[in-house]
Amino acid sequence: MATAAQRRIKSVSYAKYGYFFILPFFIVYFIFSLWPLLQTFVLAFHSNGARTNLTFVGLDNFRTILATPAENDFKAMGIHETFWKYMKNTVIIWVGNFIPQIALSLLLAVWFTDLRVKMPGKGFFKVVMYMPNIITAASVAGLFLSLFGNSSYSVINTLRGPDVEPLKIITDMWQSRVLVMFIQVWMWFGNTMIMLMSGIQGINESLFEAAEIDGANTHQTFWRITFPLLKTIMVYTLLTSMIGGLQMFDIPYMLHTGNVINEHIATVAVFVYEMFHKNFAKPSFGYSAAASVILFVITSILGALVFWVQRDKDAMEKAKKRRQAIKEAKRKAKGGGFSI
Amino acid sequence: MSKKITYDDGKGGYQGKLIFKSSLIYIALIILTLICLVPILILVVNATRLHNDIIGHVSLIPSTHLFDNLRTLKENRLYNVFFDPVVGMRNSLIVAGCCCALTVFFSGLTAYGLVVYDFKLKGPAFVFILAVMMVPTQVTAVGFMNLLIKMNLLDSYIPLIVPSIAAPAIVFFMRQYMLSSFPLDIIEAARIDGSNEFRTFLTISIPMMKPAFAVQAIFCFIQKWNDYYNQSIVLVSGKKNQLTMPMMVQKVIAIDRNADFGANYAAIFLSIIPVVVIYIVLSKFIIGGVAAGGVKE
Amino acid sequence: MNKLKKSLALVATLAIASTAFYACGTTSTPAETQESQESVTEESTEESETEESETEASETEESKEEAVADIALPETGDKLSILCWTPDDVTKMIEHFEKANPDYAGKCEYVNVGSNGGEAREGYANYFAGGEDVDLFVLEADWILEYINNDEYTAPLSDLGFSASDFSGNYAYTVAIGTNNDGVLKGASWQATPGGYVYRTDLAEKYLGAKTPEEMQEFVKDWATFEETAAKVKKDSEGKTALVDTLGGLWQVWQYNRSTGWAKDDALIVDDYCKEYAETAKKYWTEGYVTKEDQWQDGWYAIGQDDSTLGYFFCTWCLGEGSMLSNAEGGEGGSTYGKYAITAGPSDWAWGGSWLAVSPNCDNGQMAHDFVKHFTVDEATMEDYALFKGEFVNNPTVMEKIVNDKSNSNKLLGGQDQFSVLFESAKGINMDGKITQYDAQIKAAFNDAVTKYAKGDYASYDDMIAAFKKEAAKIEGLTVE
Repeated sequence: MATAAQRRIKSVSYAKYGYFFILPFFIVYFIFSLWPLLQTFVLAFHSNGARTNLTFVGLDNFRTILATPAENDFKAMGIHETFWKYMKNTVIIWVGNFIPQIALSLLLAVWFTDLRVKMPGKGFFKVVMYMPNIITAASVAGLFLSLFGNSSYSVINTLRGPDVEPLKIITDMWQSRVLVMFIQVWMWFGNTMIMLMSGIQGINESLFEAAEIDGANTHQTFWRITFPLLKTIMVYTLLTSMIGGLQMFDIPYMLHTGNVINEHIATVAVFVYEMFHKNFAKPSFGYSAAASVILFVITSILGALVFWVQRDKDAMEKAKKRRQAIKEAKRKAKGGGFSI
Repeated sequence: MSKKITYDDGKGGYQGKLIFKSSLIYIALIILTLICLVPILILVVNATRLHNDIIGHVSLIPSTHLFDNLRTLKENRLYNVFFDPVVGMRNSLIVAGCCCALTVFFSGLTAYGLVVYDFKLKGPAFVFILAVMMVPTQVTAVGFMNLLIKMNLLDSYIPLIVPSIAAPAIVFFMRQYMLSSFPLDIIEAARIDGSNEFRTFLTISIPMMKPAFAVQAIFCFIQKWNDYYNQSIVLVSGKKNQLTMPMMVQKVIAIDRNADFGANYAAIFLSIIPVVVIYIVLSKFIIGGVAAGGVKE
Repeated sequence: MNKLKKSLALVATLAIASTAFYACGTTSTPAETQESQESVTEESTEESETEESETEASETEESKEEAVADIALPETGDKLSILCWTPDDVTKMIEHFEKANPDYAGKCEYVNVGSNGGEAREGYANYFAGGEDVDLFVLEADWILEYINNDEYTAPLSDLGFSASDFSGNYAYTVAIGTNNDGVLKGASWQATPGGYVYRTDLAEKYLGAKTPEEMQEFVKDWATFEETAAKVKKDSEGKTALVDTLGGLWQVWQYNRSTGWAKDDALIVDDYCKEYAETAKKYWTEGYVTKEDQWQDGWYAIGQDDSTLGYFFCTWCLGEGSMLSNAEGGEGGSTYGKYAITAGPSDWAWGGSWLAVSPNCDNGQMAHDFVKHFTVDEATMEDYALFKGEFVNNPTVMEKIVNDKSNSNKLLGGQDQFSVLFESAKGINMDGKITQYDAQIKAAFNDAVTKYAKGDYASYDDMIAAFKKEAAKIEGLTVE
């Protein structure tokens, strides 16, 4: 039986509080994220080379970036090829960092969650392996620049001895890419490992126990139980990592000496940044924004995939049943049967 | 060894195999640990060595010159014109601290609004948050820069701090957390006691949400402390009294005249101390947080 | 209490957010922007009006001190802020200036922008956008035109009360560079920057038998001889010692000696010179006439102590206390400290150079005037500064006097006077019509391409030029064919 107070509360509408509570978020989001996003879209259709008084140029920026430029149009060739070179770098570095990272993380996650191997010091290993992730990228870049520097006097070249031709890792195409991949793995494998571990721990423990009783070995347990059940979280990791990979900026941008960035490791995010940041008085807002829009489209597709993978299984099941029921009903109705 | 193998079927050598496997795993783990730690170790060691010793000689044994290197940072004009760890840490602390407080508080508030109340736009609002969760900062950077120029907000901490009120991913996380472990009855009870809605949020909901708040606060702090990208877009003039730690480190790396490597290492060393200390103290929390939230930049 | 704080924080942030929203709403309308632009122009016309009236006033009241009357920029600020990417020069200058003018003691401030010249080029414009106090700032030859052709960033030196005749004592090329496309003088340099070949005396004697700089000069007197010497040194040292420090060093000498500018009428010029340098660089690299180190990196200095190089291409500002040469010697007590000497080398050349420019927002007109005068006009203070810092000051008369008086000796060069060698080189410096506003970016792109070509990253010279053209084409305003 409801008291008078309860009745009074029931009759009051609290809906407006919902709006109050979410209002700050939306105000700030609209000003600092949505408006800039729209502004980016607008800028993508405007000219380059100035901060104000930009003229509308339609799809020119996109054409320059995406379409094959005319012969001898060096400007278009420069922009076009730089964008694609950086896009290629982004993909190469992402693949080269993701595959070892996921393999290593998965292996470690399985080890750490293996019921049969009791491991003292597990906590210590986890703490150490996650640690590179928390260090400022600027510091990481500075550190690796001095470890793997081009100079004959860097740590790596010192270790190779004085009579050996010094390695030029920082400027060499593949060596620098591998170094960036390594740094990315170094920084992120701990994170991925812990995420996968939580995925494995989410698997019902009785399944493992049953497998163990049935005499399944580690291989069988992994390929028959862990792996299939981990699929969702793996796909999620894959897609979020792809989105993260598209944004990769700090290390590729900072891992160079002198004033020229390394074109072999520069990513699309570096392209965006360089275009609007390099020449403050005459920024190429248009190209930068157009590249951002392209990034946005790719990210949106990947994001949609994430949600598709993460979609609520139960809700799906229900929807499927409902659809079937409707179909059934229709079929029956067609056949002249009774619909109950 | 393991007590778990009580239902061992007694196959010969199983125990031995397990010990062999464990030791292999241990060796692998130790190698990985070394890979994680050696670069950091070299950094710390070199921070204690003088420039002339570092050039051309590798060592894993600390020397005694840490304070000489710190003095170089403090007294050498090359460094002290932009590098000041006290100023840098203060600024990073202001930025990261404010961001962290705002993010956690407002994300909690927004999530609370989405979970506790029923209103017409609730669904669309949540879908919107989901949709924008994955929009990368880099995509809006050009427009953001443009906005800052128009609003005359370059070189101000406002565009670094205020936007953290709207953190879609953290709202999403908080909402999931509230849905799974927040008893809505308690709000009803508070209403009966005459508590107003905002007060209920402050006095009842926040204390109950402490674990989620703490984890998100730590992540947010570390992420903002390390956020070079936005800081470099906003703090364009690079005035010393405004620089944050990552920006100072970036400038140290960029020095091309007469750099002193001992001092360089010492500068990087100083920059990582705060996060590493926070990390080691709160590591349990953090590892747990990664597992729970799947937080990724 | 706690709750109160929290709600206050909420209110405050909401207030900020809403004002931001308001600001965004208003400034984004084009009408408003136009209006603000108009008000700016109004202000500037007002300024020029006051300038006129002041000039008129000075004409009528001749008794008034001339400098004060001529300076258009106000004297309202309490600090003279001078921006530069390196503290090396400006802090020394401030020290010298304040010592000579006790009234100004403690009133001058060095402000750091960027860690190197390239960063400063981007950094200044950003710094100005931040609205901080700027009075004077230092510009580099490679990008000075970007700034002095932009009235938003620089004011004419006449606003400080200078006329062209004040700088007639300077090296003419520095005045030419400091003058913008409309013929307005906007930058004044305190230094001339001729360079030479700085070599290890002990190694020169060991491999070449050269005992004096004059004898050494015979081995490096022109490029053909230079190359022969490089081959000889390489062979006699069993491949250990190169004649040139880095490709960057070689490049500095070559880039000065290009007979045309890098662009004409905003169009990039690629000619035989480019090929000649590219092939030279490749040859030096593959033959080992140059070390494999990078200029400006740690290895650049280390090679100065371990016999990897016989010498460096250094210019005036590389030779002072605490400079590049000092680093290459390992500092005082270093293994090659004082074992270097300087000679003119295969050709005259100059490297960089720095110009003082005045911000239109300068609020210390008088002090800025005195500062610029101290280092670029007044021969007595310039001579004093040349000896104080070891600077090659921008005045041939002063430098000639120092050379003749033999009042300078450089410990890093074993007591040799670098000015006597460089004074001769400086006579030949001529950059008329050779600098463009795109130089910084074009040169960076070209040098990068050639370095890669030398290392073998490009299959052919044509590939390299194609890559260079594409990179250069990205520079706003430059056309490439």
